[in-house]
Amino acid sequence: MNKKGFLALIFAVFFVAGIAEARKTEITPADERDWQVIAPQDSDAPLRDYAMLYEAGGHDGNIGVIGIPSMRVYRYIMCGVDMHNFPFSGSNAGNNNGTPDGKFLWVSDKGADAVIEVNLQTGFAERILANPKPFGIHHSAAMSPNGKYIFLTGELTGKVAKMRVSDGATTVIDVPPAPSAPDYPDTSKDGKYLFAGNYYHSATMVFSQDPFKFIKEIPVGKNPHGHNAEPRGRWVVVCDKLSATQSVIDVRQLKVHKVIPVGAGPLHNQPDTFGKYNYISSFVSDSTSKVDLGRMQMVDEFPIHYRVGHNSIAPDNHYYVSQNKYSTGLFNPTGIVYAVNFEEQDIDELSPTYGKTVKLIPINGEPHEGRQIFSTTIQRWNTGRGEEMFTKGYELGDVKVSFDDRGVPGRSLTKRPSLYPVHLANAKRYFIPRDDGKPGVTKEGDVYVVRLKGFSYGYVPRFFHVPKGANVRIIYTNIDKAAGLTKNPDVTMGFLPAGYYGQRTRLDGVRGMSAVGEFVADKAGEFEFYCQQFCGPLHLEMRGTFFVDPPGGTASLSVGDYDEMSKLEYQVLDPEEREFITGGNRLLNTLREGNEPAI
Amino acid sequence: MKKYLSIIVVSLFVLSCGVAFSYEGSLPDDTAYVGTITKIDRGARVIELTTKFEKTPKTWKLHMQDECQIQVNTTKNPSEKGAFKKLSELKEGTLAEVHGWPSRDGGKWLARKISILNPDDYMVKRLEADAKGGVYFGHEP
Ligand SMILES: [Cu+2]
Repeated sequence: MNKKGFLALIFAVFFVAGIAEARKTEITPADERDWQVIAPQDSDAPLRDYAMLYEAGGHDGNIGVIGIPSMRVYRYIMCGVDMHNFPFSGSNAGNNNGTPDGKFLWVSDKGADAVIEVNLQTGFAERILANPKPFGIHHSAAMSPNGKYIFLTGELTGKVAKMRVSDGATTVIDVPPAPSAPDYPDTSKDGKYLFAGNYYHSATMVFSQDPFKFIKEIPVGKNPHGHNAEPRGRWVVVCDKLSATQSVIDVRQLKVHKVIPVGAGPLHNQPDTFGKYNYISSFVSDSTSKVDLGRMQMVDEFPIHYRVGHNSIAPDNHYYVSQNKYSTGLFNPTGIVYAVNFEEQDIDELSPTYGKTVKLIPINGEPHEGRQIFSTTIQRWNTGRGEEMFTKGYELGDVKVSFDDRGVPGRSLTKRPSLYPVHLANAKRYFIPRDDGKPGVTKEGDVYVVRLKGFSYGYVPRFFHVPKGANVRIIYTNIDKAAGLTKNPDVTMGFLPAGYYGQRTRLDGVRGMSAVGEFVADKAGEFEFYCQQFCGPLHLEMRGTFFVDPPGGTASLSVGDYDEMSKLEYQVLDPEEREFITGGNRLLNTLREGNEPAI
Repeated sequence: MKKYLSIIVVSLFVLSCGVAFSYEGSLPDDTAYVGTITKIDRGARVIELTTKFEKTPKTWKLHMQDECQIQVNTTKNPSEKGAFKKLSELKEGTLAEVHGWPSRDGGKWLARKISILNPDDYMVKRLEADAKGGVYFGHEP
């Protein structure tokens, strides 16, 4: 036989084998099924992902959904302005992933100063729970054990809140002394405590969940970042960002039990479901630090490609995702802002690829919190089954989950809203050639022109004032030279005033151009602005303040149109629509400290 | 006299704290246990779990809440990963990790999630190997 004939023979053998293989796959006969196959089939989803990573995409305003272990991007769920942290609804039992019932996640929108409720089963944003102003939310990731309350940290104003998620009723407490920046929070699993870092105080603050009050501060390493209660409830692990250590707080004694040296620039924790290992993202050392909480020491370190920020762990402790902040040199350019990337690492000690990177993908926005869920939790709502969301709900084994939210303000038995953030259409933003005018406020005609410069890690000017009613034009210029520790040659500098103006004024300061935002300053108040583009280890501390002064006065955290702003649901223009979608802030501050219903 | 009494009271307090805060394996107010499900009372929805990987195994009575999920966490069968199970399907002798919390009055331990484990999973093997080497689960330095 010649070579060609031989190849043809091989081809024929495989072809016949292929037909035989295809015949083995059973398909429901056409007359027995709906227009699409409903029952699970052998032929269904050959690359089924057993878990899904939900990630708060930062300034892309989305929640991204990514398959584990394939790392394929499934979906982006549009939410708001700058998405940061979230818990899944259900309970907080377990590690950071909790015990999701699959109904919702509640993500903090640092830009809009609100909490967005995403329905995991419809895959759409459903409600906006606005925070009482001024608040300056950073995080919403801490939940009471039964999932009825979430705790919010008001990093930008030194406040902490407890919010009832059914109706948005909120208790706010101040955390002095100023300056105070309550930051990454987590709750003890038994409902006793809320822990939150405070980078200005280099301390961990401890609150009681019920009654909601401040208890004490525990000194930890310098500028603490991630705080997480591990699943057994013994330890709270703290990433001491500038100390290259992990402080382990003993929950029973409320004091530091051990300080463990880890990779430099520790940012975030992912304890496994046992509370045995804690995986830490170490920004400066470009690595994942693996800490054994039994031995109280770092036992392994895996290199990552480029400057990690947040992270996440698979629900079965088999994969870890390093959510990296930069991708210099890795991917095709897509414009003037770099893509960031997700890097999946194998953490199964018995796997041949243990400790290795197994997938690396470019990703939209600049993701913050990541939490993973078994994909069995998300139901098959396609092929006409969506109707059951209104009638039957779904079952997780014996557990019945219902969407019957009768009597919950802003929710309806017969409506499942899908929000579309209106701020995207309303922003007047553009780029001009680099403007090197003197920083500060000048008046050009009837326009207040604010020349603002951004660098890692700060702004010039740090504070600026305009009168209420002013037409404002912000010309934002990136004057960053080296970007120091970041090793990134081209850092983007962000500008975003949190709250009312956050909707329209988010600017991306790329090098070589100036970013301009125009708006009317129609609400008085003090607005903290911050950098929404990761630019290095002290990026979080990069802040400034913008004052819109009322006639004849000076704005402050107590002088401003705060009540009016609290009543607005930012993403919605039409008041009728507001009524329809939100259960938000109608019950602001109705809960008084100590009088809330029990956890 | 008063001085001595206060010294005694203080030292008793210190001693009791020392006892209460020594981590010798699992404790009644832990919010997770790992071990074998030794008994299932399906009617009362109460399970008993005997801990593993500790110096001395302990048995805990865990009250399943209405919303307590039973889920396959690790398994040899890829299509079973994350599968939800009914209580009637749960068997005695199953290796599991249970998450929950003690009730406020301390009377009951409320189970919120039962995660079924693969005895050959790396985490189980790791906890076994560590215990053999004298590093027991729940006995922190
Ligand atoms: Cu920055």
